[in-house]
Amino acid sequence: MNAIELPTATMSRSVIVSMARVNKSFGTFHVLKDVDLDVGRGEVVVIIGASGSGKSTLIRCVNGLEMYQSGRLTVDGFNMPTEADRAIGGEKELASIRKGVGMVFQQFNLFPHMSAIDNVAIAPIRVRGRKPNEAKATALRLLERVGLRDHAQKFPGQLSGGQQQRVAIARSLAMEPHIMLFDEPTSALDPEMVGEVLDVMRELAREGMTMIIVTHEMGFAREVADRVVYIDHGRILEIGTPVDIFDCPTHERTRTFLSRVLRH
Amino acid sequence: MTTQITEYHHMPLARRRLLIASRWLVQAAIMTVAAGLVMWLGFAVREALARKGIQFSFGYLGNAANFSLSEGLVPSLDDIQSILEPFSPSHSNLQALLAGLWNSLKVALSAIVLCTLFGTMVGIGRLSTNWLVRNLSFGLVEGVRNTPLLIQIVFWYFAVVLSFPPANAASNWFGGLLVSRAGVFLPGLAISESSGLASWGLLAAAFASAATAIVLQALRLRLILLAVTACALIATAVVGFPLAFDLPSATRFGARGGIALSPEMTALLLAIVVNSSAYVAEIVRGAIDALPKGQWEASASLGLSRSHTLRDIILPQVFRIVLPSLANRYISLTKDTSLGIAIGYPDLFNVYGTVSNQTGRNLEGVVIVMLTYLTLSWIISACVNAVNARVNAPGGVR
Amino acid sequence: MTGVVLRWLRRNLFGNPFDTALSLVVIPVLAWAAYAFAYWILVEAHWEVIRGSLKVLMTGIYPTDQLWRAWFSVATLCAMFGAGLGLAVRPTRTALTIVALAGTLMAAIVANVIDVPSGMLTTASASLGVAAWIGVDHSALGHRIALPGLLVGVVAIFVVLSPPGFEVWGGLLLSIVLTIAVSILTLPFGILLALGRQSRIASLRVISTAYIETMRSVPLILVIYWIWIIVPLLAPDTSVPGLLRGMAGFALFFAAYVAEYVRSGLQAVPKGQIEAARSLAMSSWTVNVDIVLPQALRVVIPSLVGQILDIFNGATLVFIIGLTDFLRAGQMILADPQNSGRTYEIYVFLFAVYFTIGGAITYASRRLETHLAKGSR
Repeated sequence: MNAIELPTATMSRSVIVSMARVNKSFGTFHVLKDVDLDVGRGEVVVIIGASGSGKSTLIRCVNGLEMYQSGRLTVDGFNMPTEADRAIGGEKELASIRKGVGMVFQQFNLFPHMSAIDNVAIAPIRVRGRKPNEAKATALRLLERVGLRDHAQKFPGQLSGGQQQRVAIARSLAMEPHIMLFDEPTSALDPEMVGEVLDVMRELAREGMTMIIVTHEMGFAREVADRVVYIDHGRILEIGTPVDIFDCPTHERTRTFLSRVLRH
Repeated sequence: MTTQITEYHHMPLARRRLLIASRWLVQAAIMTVAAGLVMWLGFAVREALARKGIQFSFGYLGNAANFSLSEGLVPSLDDIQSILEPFSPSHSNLQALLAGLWNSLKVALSAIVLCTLFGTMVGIGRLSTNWLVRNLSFGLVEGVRNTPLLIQIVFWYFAVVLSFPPANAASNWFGGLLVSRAGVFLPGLAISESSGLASWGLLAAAFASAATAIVLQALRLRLILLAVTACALIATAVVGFPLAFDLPSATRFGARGGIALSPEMTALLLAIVVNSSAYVAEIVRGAIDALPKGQWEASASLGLSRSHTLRDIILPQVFRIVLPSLANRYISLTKDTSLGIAIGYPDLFNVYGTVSNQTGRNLEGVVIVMLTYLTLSWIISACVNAVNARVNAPGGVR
Repeated sequence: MTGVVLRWLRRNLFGNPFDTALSLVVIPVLAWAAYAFAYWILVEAHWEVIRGSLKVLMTGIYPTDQLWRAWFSVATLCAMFGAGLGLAVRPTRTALTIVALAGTLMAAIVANVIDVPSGMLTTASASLGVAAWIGVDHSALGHRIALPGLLVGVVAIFVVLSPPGFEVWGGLLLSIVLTIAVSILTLPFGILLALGRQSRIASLRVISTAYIETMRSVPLILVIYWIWIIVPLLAPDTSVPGLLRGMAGFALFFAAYVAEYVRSGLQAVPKGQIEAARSLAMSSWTVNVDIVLPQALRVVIPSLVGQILDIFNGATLVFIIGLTDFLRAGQMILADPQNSGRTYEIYVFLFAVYFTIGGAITYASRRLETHLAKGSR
C-alpha cells in the first residue's frame, strides 16, 4: 500500500523522518504492515486510529523504543537499527538518534525524585555535558516558556497532570531536538487541563518544530496538523490534509472511525 | 504479509562483526575470570592441605567415627530386625552425618507442621475482636521477632527445660505425657503380645471401611460402612488389639517407655516452633489484611458470622497467597536447626563440626553439608510449588 | 469516667460470647503471670549480678585500662546515629524532648550502676548524638557529609578499638560494631549482585543467580564457620583476625539477601521511567545511577533496615568462631560458679536489651516505610 504523498511534503521541505515498508511484529502479532511515511522538516503530522491499530507502536519506532524487524527507517539523517541490529549492539547509533528526537509520553514519566527544574536540566548535563549552572538557566527559561517558572522547585508529586506534562515537554525541549514525538499527550489528563498542554503544543507548531502527534483530539488536529494519517490494523489507510481526511475521507473505514469519534 | 522474523540489518558489516566479536570477548573474559578464581581457590586449598599432609578425598567417610552422639539413628545394614539403630562410635563417619541429618529432619519436619498450625492461630488472633488476645498475639510476635533466635533457644534450654523436675519425679500430664529434665516422653505405639494375623486383619478392615465411608457420597452406603467399621473394631478388641499404647512411666531410675524426646531436642523444637510461628503469624495476618475489604463486607451482608467468614471465605483465599512466603519460612526454619549446636543437639552442622575436627576434613565436609542443605531447600520449594500449582490451577481447588 | 471505661471493656473484651469466654480464661492467667513476674523482679531477683558484670556484658574481655577506646566508640556511634536520623527525621520539639529525657534517664542509671564519670560520658555521647541530628538536618553541608561521615565513623571506630587486638573485642559493643560494619559492607556488594542478576551478559547472570540461591539455601552459621576455616588455608603467611574473617562470612551471606531486596526494588521502578530516560539519550550508566537506583533504593530501604535487625540478631552466631558477643558474655558470667543461680536475671536482662534495640530498629523500619510511601522528599 503506497503512501499518498502530497507535492508540498516532498518538494518544498526536506524529509526528516522516512519510513519505507516498515514491518513490526510482537511475536506472531503483526502490528505494523508495510508502513510508508515521509515527514518533512517543520511539518506537523497527526496520526489517528482506533486503539490497537499500531499508532503508538509506529511513533515509538521512530525513537527506538520499539524495534522494527524489516524495512527502512531513517530519522534525522541516521539509519535506525533493526531488531537484529539491536541484538548485537547498536546502542551508539540509537543514542545519537535520540539526541535529536524528543518524546512526550501519555503518562508524563517525570522523574519523581527530582524537582521540575532538575528534571529539565539533567539530560543536558549528563548527555550533552553542559555545566549545571548553564543547564539550570536554560531549564528555567524553558519552564517559563511553558508557563511554569514559579513551579521550578516543586516535585512532580506536587504538580497537577497538566503541569507535569508541560514540564515533560520542557524536558524534551531542553535537548534541542529536531523533531518532537507526542504519544497521546492529553489522554491521561482531566478535561480541564487538556487545553493548557495543547496551547504549548500549538505554540511549538507555530515556531516551526517538526512534530509527530498521536492523539484523539480531533479539533486540535484539524487546527494544527499539516497532514493527518489514518492508520488501521497496522496499515496506513489514508493520508491527507485535515480538510481531506475530516471532511471528505475516501475509505469506508476512515468514515466509520471518524463518525464514531467525532460524535462527541 | 509475512510474519516470519527475518534478519534485516542496517549496520555496516564491519561494525556488526566488531560488535559480535566484542560481546563474545566479554563473555569469554568473564568466564575465564570466574573459572580462574575457582581454580585458584581449588589449587590453593589443595596445596594448603598437602602441606598438612591431607589429600582432598571422600574416603574418610568410610572410616569409623570414634565418637558418640547423644542421640541419632542410622540405617543399619546388617541387622534385618530393626531398620534404624542408635548411633555408636563404631559406625562410620558417613553414618554419623546421616544421624545428624536425621536429627535435623526430626526437628525440621515437626516444627514445620507445628508452626504452621500455631502460627495461623496467632495470626488470626492478631485480628481478634478481643483486645487482650489481639495485643497478646502482637506482643508475642514482636517479642519473638525482635530478639535473636539463639537467645530463645538457649533460654528454652537453660531456663525452661533444665528447670523441669528430674526424671524420677517427672510430672505426668493427661496420663500419657511425661515432662522432665531428662526429656519429654510421649505415648508411643508398640506391638502388643496379642497381635496376630486375625487382629491385624480386622484392624485393617476397620480402616478400609472407615476410609471408604469418608470418600463415598451415598448416605445409605455410608451408614452400612460405618456399621461394618464398628463391628470390625469390636471384633479387634475381642481378639486383642495388635497395637498398644506404650505409656511412659517415671521410675526410680528414670523415665521408661514411650517416644523419648531428649531435653536438647525439646528445647530446640519449642524454640523453633515459637519463633517460626511468629513469622507465620505475620505472613497470615498480612495475607488476611491484603484481601479486599469487600470480601468481609459481602460476607457480613450475607449474614455469615465472623468465624464462618474466616473459615469459608477468607482462609481459603489466604491459603493461596501465603504459600510462597511459607516456603521461605520453612527453608529458614530448616536452616535454623543448625543452631542446635549451641545447646549440644547433634544436628547435621554439629556432627559435621565434630567429624571435621576429628579428621581435619573441613572442605569435603562443607561440600557435603552445603549440598545437603541445598537439596533440602530445593525439596521444600518443590513441594510447596506443587501444592501452589494445584491450588492455583484454573478453576482452582479449594 | 467509669462509664467510658465500662463501655470500652464491654466492647473490647466482652463484645461477643466467644470473646467473653476468651477474656474469662485469659485475664486470670495474665493477672497471675504479671503478678508473679513483677514479684520476682522486685523482690526475689538478685540484680547485683548485673551491676557487677556490666563491663563484661558491654565490652567482653576488653582490657579495663583501655576502656576509653570503648567510650570513644560509644560517642562516635551516637554521632553516627544522630547523623543518620538527621537525614530522615526532622528534630521536632517533641522528639527532642523525648530523646533528652531518655538520655538523662540512661545517664542517671549509668551513674547509679557504674560510677559518676561513666554517667557523664553517657550524657556527653547522647548530647553529641543530638547535636549531630540537628546539625545534619539544618545544614546542606551536613546533608552532604552525612553518608561519607558514617563511613569515616566506622573506620575511626575500627582504628581506635583495634590496638589491643581484635580477639579481645566482645560484649554488646562487638555486636553493634559488627552489625554496622557488615550492614555497610553488604550494600555495594548486594547492589552489584542484583545488577549482575539482571545483566544482559548470560555468564554474569548465571554466576550471580547461582551465588544468591546458594547463600539463601545454606545456614549462616555454616558460612561463617567455613570462611573462618578457609581463609587461613588460602593465606597461610598472613594471619587474618578471626573477627574480620567472621565479618567476611556475614557480608558474603547477607549480600545475597540485599541483592534480592534490590532486585525487587529495581522491578518496582515503572518501565516508563527507563523509557523516558532512554528517550533523552541517557547512557546505561546514567539511567541506572541517576534514575533507576534512587527510585529503587527508596522502595528497598525499609527492607534494608529490617535486614540490619537480622544482622544484629545473627551477630550472636560469632560464638562458633570463638568470639564473645553480648549473649555469650552473659553465658560466660553464668559459667562463673559464683553466679550459678542467677540464670533468670541474666537472661531477662539480655532479653530486655535485645528487645529494646530490636524494637527500635523495627519501629524505625515501619516509620520509614510510611514516610517513603507518602512520596518523595
